[in-house]
Amino acid sequence: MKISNNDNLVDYLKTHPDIKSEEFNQALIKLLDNYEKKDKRINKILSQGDTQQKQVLQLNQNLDSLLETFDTYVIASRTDLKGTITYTSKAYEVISGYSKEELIGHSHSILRHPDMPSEIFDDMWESIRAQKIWIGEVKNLKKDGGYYWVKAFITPQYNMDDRHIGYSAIRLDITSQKHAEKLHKEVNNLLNNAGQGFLSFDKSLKIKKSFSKECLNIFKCNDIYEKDISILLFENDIVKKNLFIDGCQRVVSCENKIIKDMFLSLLPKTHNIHNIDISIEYKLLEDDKFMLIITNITEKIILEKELAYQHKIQKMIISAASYKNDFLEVVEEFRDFLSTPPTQKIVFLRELHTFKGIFSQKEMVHLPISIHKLETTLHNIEVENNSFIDLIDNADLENTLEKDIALISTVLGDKFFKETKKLSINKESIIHLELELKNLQDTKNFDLIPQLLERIRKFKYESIFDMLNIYPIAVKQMGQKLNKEIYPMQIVGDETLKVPTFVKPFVNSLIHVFNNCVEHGIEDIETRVVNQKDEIGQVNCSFDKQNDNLIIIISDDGSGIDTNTIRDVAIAKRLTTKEKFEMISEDEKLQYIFLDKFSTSQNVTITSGRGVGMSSVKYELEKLNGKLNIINKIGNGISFEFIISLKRGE
Amino acid sequence: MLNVMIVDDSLILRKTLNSSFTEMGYNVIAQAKSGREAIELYNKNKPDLVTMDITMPVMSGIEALKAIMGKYKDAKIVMITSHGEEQLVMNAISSGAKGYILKPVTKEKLQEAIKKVELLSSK
Repeated sequence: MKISNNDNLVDYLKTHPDIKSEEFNQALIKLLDNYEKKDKRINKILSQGDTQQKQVLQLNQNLDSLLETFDTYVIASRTDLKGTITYTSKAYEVISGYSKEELIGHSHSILRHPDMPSEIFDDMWESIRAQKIWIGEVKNLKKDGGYYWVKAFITPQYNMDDRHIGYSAIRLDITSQKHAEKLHKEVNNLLNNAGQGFLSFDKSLKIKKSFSKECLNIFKCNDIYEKDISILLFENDIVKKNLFIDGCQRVVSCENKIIKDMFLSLLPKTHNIHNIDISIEYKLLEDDKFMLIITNITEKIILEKELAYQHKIQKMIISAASYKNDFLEVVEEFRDFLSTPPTQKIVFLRELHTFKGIFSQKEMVHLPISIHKLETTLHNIEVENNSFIDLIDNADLENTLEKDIALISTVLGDKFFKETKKLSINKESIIHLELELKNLQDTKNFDLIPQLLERIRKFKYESIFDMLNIYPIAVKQMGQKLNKEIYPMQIVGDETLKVPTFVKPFVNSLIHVFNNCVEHGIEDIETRVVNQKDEIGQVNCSFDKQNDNLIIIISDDGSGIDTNTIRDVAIAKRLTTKEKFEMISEDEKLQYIFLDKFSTSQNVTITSGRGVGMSSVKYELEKLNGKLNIINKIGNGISFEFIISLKRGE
Repeated sequence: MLNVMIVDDSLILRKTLNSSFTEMGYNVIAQAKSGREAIELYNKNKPDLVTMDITMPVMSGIEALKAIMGKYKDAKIVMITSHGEEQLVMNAISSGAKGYILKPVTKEKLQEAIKKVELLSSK
């Protein structure tokens, strides 16, 4: 309603005691003016005589009721020219907590709140001294120490003779408005500093006006108001964008809250935008408005990667510390290998492949990856024997090895790599040897020398059990990687049996046989159940010494090798023809798996599929003039029997 | 006791779901290996609840869902899904699926999904 005359205003104030509007303010100021004028008129009428007394009384009554209303609802005061209070309304008493008596005669400044800068009052005095109206927001001190906010309107006051005698002020209580403003500011501050993007949009996908500052960082733009959220978020990913648009439409067009939530939960939850990894949380507001909470999770992801990396390093260190001798030896062998690499590419690749297997099994962090890269390069590029050495130098495997070793050294200390290998020899043997040497010195019977030499050589022999005992862990790890359940493998054989160290390269190459058993031998659980086999697979390893031969048997209870598969691969790789293959014995057919580049696997992975692994085993075996028997039972597994002569001049 | 039908081409998943349902006190009345088998077995058994894998050979879970929903509009079918199948799941829900479970399936997820199915059907 329009507040235009005094009668209306009285009614209006009675029914709307809490009204606060600019319009109202203006009306109040007008009212005050009228009041002054009426005051003058009454005095004028009074001076004119009794005849008009009735009219005066009527006017007075109106004025009284008007004043009462004014007194109750309007926070009003008057001061003299110096600012000493000369009048206050009841409403003023209520809001300030002071009584009329406590206020009148005192300076207005007793209500001044310490939070208010003095410049505001300087400005006010300057205005009102110049007899201009001053309007401003002021925080006042209450008697009880509390505060209230008012919007004050101060106007000059004149007496009957139009002389400037003081100031008249009315105020609007804006405490709750100030509270709301403060709260709003705090909430905004909170949202802006939460480091998260908050925004909302409706089914048109246009972003609403309020959003947190972080949104601008995330989307890398100055303003996102009214922009299409699906484009801002998923411009670089059409699948996610379509899913997002479709999902939002489905949320809006369905009635059921549970179903709405289901659709909401299917919207894209993570994304990479401007090289920032973000997570997106969706909330449904009233009227099918969506709210998004976008969090920058780049650091979290980096942290997770770092954690995974540290975890890998830890595993490497544990592996190195647990099998120290073995570890040091392999490192030494690899250094030798790198300093004088085999000149034939094929030989180089075989040995490199075995090293990769060993270093993977030893949980080395960087080396297996670098070796794998070099292998890929060497396999893909047809290079001459003499130029492939350059590629090896380029790969800089020494550096990668040193990088891994440095990581181990930081925890285990440099000493770890400096200690030379210790042999354990019992005292009796040394005493015995000493006696025999003394005997030799006395008797000068040089025929005893070969026998003595053999004894000393035997000190360097190592337990074959220990050499093989790195594989139970390898089999377990491989099984876990491929999601196959395998019973813990045990090495079966005489733990005290010691063998010459020349068998080591061969024993090292056996990693490929174990990998093969787990990857290609043991079937996945599903197949095993269908074939009514134990769900958990078995890989076995045993050894024995018979006469001067070392026999190592590795077997699994997997699928065995289907010679038809071998035939197909061999023909595809042009290693044979169908006719030729049918002619040869089962045993000869199986030998194909030991050929270079023979792999039945479709994919090359870091652990297998190159077709180099098994050929490396064969290569090492042949260096020792060893023999291999394979017992292949289709559907029931395979056994590899390696026979190596331990008689060899050193 | 609630009669449940499991539809999944993976034996391991069928086994896992079977033991979970049994432990939770449900009666696994049928197991299907493909969408086509699911339709046949649904007609025969009229189960109270179905868990339906999405990607299966012969006939996908979505097609089977549509066929079953077309004939039995009160069928209660929960989809078993993997990452990257969000769009398919949305289609399934719009076609009447009463929920979905993201693999790997756990007993907690099953319970949660069944609770939602019950909430949806009580309305």
